[in-house]
Amino acid sequence: MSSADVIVVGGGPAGISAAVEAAKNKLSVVLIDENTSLGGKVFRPEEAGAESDPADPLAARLRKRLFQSFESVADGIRVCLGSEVWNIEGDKSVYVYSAHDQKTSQKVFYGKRLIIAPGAIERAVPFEGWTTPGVFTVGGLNALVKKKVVPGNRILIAGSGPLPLVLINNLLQAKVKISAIVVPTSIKTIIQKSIPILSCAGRHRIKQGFEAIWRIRKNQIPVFSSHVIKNVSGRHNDFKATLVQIGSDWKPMGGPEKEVSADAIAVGYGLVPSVELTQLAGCEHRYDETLGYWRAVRSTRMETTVSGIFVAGDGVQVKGYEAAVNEGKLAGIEVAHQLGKVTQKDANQWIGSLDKKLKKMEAFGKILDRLSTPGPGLLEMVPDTTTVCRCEEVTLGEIRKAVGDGAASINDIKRRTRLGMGHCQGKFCGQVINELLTMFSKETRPRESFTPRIPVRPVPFKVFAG
Amino acid sequence: MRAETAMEIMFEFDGRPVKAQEGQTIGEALLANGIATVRKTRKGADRGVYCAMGVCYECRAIVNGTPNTRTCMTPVTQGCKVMTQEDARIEVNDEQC
Amino acid sequence: MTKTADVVVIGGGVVGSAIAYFLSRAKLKVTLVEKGCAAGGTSGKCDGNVAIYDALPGYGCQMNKMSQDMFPAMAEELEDDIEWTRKGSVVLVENEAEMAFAQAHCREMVAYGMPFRIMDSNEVREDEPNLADDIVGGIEVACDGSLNPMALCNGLIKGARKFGATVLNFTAVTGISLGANGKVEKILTNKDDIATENVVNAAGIWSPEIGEMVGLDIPVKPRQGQLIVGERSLPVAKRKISEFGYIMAKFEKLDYQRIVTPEMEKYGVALVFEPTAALNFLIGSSRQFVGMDTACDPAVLRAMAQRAIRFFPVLKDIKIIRTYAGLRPYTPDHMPIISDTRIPGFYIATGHEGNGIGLSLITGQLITQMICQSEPDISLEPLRFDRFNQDQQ
Repeated sequence: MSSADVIVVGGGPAGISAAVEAAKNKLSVVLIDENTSLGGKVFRPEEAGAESDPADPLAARLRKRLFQSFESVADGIRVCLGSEVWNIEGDKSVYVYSAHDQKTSQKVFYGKRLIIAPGAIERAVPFEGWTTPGVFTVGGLNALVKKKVVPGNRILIAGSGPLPLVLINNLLQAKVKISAIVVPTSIKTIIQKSIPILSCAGRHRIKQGFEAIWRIRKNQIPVFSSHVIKNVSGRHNDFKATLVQIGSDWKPMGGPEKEVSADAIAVGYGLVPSVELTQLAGCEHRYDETLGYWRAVRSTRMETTVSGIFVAGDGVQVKGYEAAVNEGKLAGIEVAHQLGKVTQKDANQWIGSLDKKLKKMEAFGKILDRLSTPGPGLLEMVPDTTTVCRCEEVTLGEIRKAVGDGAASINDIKRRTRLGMGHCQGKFCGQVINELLTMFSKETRPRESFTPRIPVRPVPFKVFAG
Repeated sequence: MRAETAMEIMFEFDGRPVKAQEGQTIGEALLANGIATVRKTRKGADRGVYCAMGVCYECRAIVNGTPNTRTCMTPVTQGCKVMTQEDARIEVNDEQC
Repeated sequence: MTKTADVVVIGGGVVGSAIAYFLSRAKLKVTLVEKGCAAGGTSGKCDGNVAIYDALPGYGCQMNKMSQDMFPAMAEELEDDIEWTRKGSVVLVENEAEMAFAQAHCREMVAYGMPFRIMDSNEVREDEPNLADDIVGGIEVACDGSLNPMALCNGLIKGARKFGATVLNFTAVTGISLGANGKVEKILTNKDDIATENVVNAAGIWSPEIGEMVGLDIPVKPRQGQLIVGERSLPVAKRKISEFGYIMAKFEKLDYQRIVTPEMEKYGVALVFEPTAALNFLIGSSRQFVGMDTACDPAVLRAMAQRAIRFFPVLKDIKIIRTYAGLRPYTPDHMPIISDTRIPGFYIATGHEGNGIGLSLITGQLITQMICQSEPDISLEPLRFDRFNQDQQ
């Protein structure tokens, strides 16, 4: 049992930034992350020292600056790596499990304030063959490539949002052949929706975008716009992906199907915040129709509806690492103020200047989401044989049958089919199950999410036993 | 690009020796060796790394005798024994520990 | 618009579903009214026990066994798979002091014709190799079975529909109107009213609310039980396991003391292990009165995990993937209420505590016999509502 002023869950850009700000103001901090090093998905350790030729110079700069700040206050921050949070109680106690720590594999931390910065996960839409090994999320393949692991010589990339562009850049830099790029919208739509970005994205991102387009042309990589992957057959190193053309509602246009060969495939449709920690902690959430995901409700000072619990970064709204760093800082300032280390005046001033930066990034984030959210047609083309719940192997056909048998809520479907009962506890199938229920029942039901339960992540019995 | 300075490690997958680099996860090391399948579901379907960040739990295998270990989150260690996990019948013999 | 029915059954849990099935199979026009979705209450937050190991000698075990014996036929009769298996269960005896009580209990049950049998320490370990070394033996109850409770509930409802029953989801009962002669006349809901002369209150932990609508004080209290879901991993045990202390904890008999921590006593924790058809397993159990709370308490889970590890040390490194809590409809004497009442047409079928799944079929049968005025399969005396003397109004 340990106490600290502030417990920060998540050691990515937002979490590190929050921890640094809290520690700068002489608060005791515990920073918890499940990975073996800090940095989250974007500020990865393998990118340290890569400023000379980075794929994303802004990220490299921010990372360097943030880690330098971290070093200057590191003595005041207790870092727990390889540690997963499995429970958060209303009294702000945080239950942690560290699989690889032989000495103290389970701990409970008590904090006066909690800052939760869990980041986001990929928005995944099932398609026939998506569970075959060698098919990855876009973020997943990107993480592998950044560790210099490329699972094949011909990579097919499909989907929407900013991640495919990042992955393309990284693959090109690693000199890996890209079989094709498949984007669900027309080039015209992309341009139309991207114009607003020009005003808020910042020069570096625009440069990145143009560089990517130039590289794609130079390498003569086939680009299929207004297309999605309908199904994938074969296996790793011998995939055949069938592409179909879709309209603006994402429904098939009925044109000829195209076939692309690949060794590995990455598919993703943007990011959605990880909400299971904030849900379990009892924070209020709402489904944002524009953004297309559940998010914690929070004040302008990053505080959730549970007093003393804050949330920052992509874990509450997907806006990228720059916003995450600023939000983490803002949360850190507010917490420091609440705990008496920063005056109201100073807090208002510092937060004011951060707010201005964040407003610009807010607009950028919203555009990214609009560019990535799939239309309803995408689910309609999924055949009954396709696995929807990967963990429990529940197919679309079984879900259709459950609704036909009378299932009238997502929990009813869950009880009948085991959907959502596996290790991941509905993180992926939960993203589409409301849409499927509406599709099959032809009734509009209020959107629901699965009941949050302990443990947030699977932990061994010995951890519960204490 | 940084120079490659990682140390080489040998481990086992289904009893066969596999080369890895220090700092890799088991999932990464297997993929670097062209191995994508680490598990068979109850219904016999192949599974492997999908999200590469520890949230999907698809990449589970038996590592040093412990079933349901996420290979994408577990660092590879010298001599570690990794076995394909068959969900329909999970078994571990003494040699695997 | 007013609907009509011969019988309205309130509650789409396993008991209400079974009643709807049996009544509609007997050709009555049945409407099942459920405020949410089927199995959305206790029947969706339990385990799949169809057992007599925890029944009291005498009427209790006879009723449980009678109900249990109905399951093989029902598993065949229902269209969908309810994952019914009948592998028997083992009640573990922790030490020699318990063994004396266990042997006496065993003898009593055998006298009632129940297939109870003492296993010595070698036998019990051969049966379950992962057991802790110091377990002195067990009781084998050869007839016990297991199934998927949600599949049973949904299966019974599907069957009832096939026999012509109407099932109304998201329909909450808001009142029950009685006629001039005090007979049941109409069921009022948040949607349509239903004219009927017979209503069965199978609302489980919500039975008292329904009872209040007709001025009856039904002494059902929610008794919370928490459950742990274990991942698919190395096999732990192949059939339903419990501890002798469970029976004592359930019936609040304190003639002897288990060797447990104060927390285990406080939360009524006793080991229950159930392997599922999905190849993972459930671990229970706890007993607390916390109102209508279905949140899990880490302190209770801690006691449950400790107790489970005590009996099966191999659990230490197996992962827990979920926990949940259900509310058992408890009555002061641990017996259900399957009864008519002083209100003509108002029947009660609730209070099954932790045996709702196993007793569902006999409840369906008995209520049908009651309403159709045919000979009940078993005496209804111990199940009467007026045994609580709540009937004086």
